[in-house]
Amino acid sequence: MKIPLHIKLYLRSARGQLTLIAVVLVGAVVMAAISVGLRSLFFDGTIRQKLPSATEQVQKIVERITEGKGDIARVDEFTDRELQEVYGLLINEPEVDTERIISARLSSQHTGYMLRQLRVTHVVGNQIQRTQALELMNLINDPKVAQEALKLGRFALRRAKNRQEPAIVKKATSVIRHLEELF
Amino acid sequence: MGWQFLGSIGFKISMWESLAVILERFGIQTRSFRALLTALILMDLRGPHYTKATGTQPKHVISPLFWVVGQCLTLSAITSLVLFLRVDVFFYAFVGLAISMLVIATTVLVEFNEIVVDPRDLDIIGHRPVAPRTYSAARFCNLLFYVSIMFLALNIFPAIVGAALYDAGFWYAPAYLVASFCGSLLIVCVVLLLLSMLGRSTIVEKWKELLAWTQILLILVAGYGGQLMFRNKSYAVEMWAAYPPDWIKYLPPTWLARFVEQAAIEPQTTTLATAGGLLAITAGGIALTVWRISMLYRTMQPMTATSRMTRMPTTQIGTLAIGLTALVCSSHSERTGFWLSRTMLARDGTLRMRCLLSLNMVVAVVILGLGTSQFANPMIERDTALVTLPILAVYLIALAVPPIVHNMTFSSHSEASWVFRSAPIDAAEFVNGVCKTIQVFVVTPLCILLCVVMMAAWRAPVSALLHSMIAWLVSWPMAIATVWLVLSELPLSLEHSRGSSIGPLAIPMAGFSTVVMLLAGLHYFAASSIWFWLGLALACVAATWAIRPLANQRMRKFISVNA
Repeated sequence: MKIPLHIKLYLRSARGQLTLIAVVLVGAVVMAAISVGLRSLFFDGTIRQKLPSATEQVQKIVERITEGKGDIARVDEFTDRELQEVYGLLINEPEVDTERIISARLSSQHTGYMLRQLRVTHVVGNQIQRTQALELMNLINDPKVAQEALKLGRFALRRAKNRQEPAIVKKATSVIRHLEELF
Repeated sequence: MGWQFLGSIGFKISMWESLAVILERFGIQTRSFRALLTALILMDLRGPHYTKATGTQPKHVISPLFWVVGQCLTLSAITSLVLFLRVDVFFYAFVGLAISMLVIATTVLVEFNEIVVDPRDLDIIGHRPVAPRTYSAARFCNLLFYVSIMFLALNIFPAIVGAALYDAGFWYAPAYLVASFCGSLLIVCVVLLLLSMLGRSTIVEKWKELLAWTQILLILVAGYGGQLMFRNKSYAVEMWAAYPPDWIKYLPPTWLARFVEQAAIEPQTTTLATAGGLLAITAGGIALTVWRISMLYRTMQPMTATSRMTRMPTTQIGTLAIGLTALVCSSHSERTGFWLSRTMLARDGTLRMRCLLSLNMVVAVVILGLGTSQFANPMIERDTALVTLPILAVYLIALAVPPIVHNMTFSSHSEASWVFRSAPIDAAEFVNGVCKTIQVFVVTPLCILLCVVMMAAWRAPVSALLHSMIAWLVSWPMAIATVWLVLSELPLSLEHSRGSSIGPLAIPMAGFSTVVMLLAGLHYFAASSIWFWLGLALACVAATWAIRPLANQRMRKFISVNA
C-alpha cells in the first residue's frame, strides 16, 4: 500500500512524529483497558494449578480403596508420578474421596510431600483448589510438621484477606486454629 | 514557528506563566530556558533521525525514536500480560518498576547521556548571556522529554492492567504512577550524577560498558522469565514471586513496590506521607542533578582540536600484525576496513558498547540454561525443555551479528569519513574487511567461549565443537546479509543519534529471526545426524556465495550514488 505524500511529509515532521507516538500510547491505553475488560474471558480460567490427570489404573486403585475394597497401604507404594495424579484427583475432584480415606493417609504418611504440594496449590491454585488444599491441611495431625503447616495456613489467610475471599478466610482461620492446637 | 508548534502540543501560555514563576524562583532565566528547550527538542526531532545520522532515506516514514518507544511498549505489555493474575500485587509492581528503572537507566546511559552536557553547545551559546543554571535546566528538560516518552511506554500497561489484579484496590494505579514516576526520575538523576562524577575519561567508558550489561537481567526477567513461567511444571517463577528471597529487600524497586502494595491493599495515612516523601526526594534529586550539570557547564571549555599521531614504519604500511594479512584479508581495501574497524573498536568505547550490547541475549540464554539445568546436549537429549536454550545460544550468536554490523556504521569520528570517498578503495571490499573484524574479534572469541562452556556442561568435546563451529559459520552469511539488507552507509561514517543503534534494525531483524528460528527447529529434529551438520555448513557456504554479489553491488552502488 502506498502512503500519500502529504501523510508521509506530515509523519516525517516533528509534529507528525509526536502525533504518531501519542497515537501509539493512546492505543496502548485502549489495549490495556481491553485486557482488563476481558479478564474473566481470557485470564481467570487459566489461573489454576495444572496437575497430571490420573491414569485409568490409578483411578481404579483409588476407587477400590474409597469403596473399602482395596488395601490402603497400596497408597504408600505409589511412585512420585502416581502420587501427583492422586493429589490432582483430591484437589480437582474431591468427591472421589468423600470419606477422606486417601487424604488422611497421604497427610499422615506422606506429610512432607503433601506440604510441598499444598504450598504450590496455595500460590498458583484457583479458589476451588485453594479451598480444597485447606481441607487437606485440616487432616494434618503430626505435631512435627505443625509449625510449617501453620506458616502455610497464615500465608493462605493473608492472601485470601488481600483478595477479599471470605469463604477461604473462614476456612483458613479454622485450619490455623486446628494446627495451633497441635502444639 | 517552532514555538507555535510546541505551544499546540501542551505548553499553553497560561501554564507557562505559572511555570515561569517557579523557574524564576530557582534562578532560571525563563525566556532563555524556553528558547533553548524548544530549539533542543526541535533539533532532535527534525534533523538527525532522517538525514545522515541514521542513513534513513526519504522513502522511510517511521523514525528510530518511534521504534525505541515501540520496543519499550512491547516489553512492558508482554511482562504485564504474562504476570497478570499469576502473582500478587507486590511482585507485579516490583517487576514493572524494576523493568522501567532498568530500561530508562540503560537507555539514558547508552543513547541519551550526551544530551545532558554537549561540549559543542559552548561554541553556539557560550558567548551569549545564558546562565549555567538555565543551560543545565534546559538540557535536563531535554532529557526528560525522552524519559517521559519512555516512562509512558513502560508504565501504561502495568499501571492499568495491574489495577485489575485480584488483590489490587482502588489506590493501586495512583500509587503505581507515583512510584514509577519517582523511580524513573531518581534513576535518571543517579545515572547522570554517576557519569558526571566519573568525567569523560576511559573509566567512564568502562563503567558504561559494565552498567549496560544490566540489560542481561532485564532480558532474563522479561524474555525468558515469561517462557519459564509457562513451561516450568514446578511453577518456579510463581513460587519465587510468592516467597521472594531476602536480598530483594535491599533493591530500590522493592521499596517502591512495598509502597504500592500498601496503597493497593491497606492504605493508611502513612501511605500518603510516604508518597509525599517520595516526591520530595525526587525533587531533591532533580535539584542536585541540575546543580551538578550547571557546575560542569561552568568548568567546560570550548572544544579544541586534538590529534593523535601514530607513526607507522614504511614497511608496515598496508600490512596487518602477526601475518594476519595473508590469512584474513586479500586486498588493500579489505585490509583498510579490517584495520580501521579493529582500531575504532579498541579506541571508541561507545562504539564497542553499542556493538557488544547485542551479545547480551546469548549470555542471558547460557546463564539461564546452566542456572536452571536446561542446557543439555541436543545431539543426545530429546526433551525440548532441556535442549531449547543451548540451541538458542548457538543461533543467537549469529543473530547478534546484524546489530553489530549495523552499529559499525556509527563513529564519534564520522566527520573524517570523507577520506573513504576520496581514497582509492573498493567500498565492497572495505565493508568485507569490517565484517571480518567482527568475525575475528567478536564472533570467534565468543564461539570459543561457548565451546568451552558446552564442553564443561556436556563432557562431549565433539558436540561442543560442532555447535560452536556452526555458530561461527552461520554468523558469516548473516553479516553479509546485513550488508545487503540493512547497511545504508559506509562503516564508521555516520554520527550516532538517539535511537539509531536499535531503531532501524527492527524490521530486518524480524526476517533474520525467522530464518534463525527455522534453523533452530531443524537443529532440534536433526542434531543427531551427521548430514545435518554437513548440510548446514554447505548451506552457509552457498548462502555466502549467493548473497555476496548482492551485498557488493549494494555497497558499490551506494558509494557511486553518494559520489
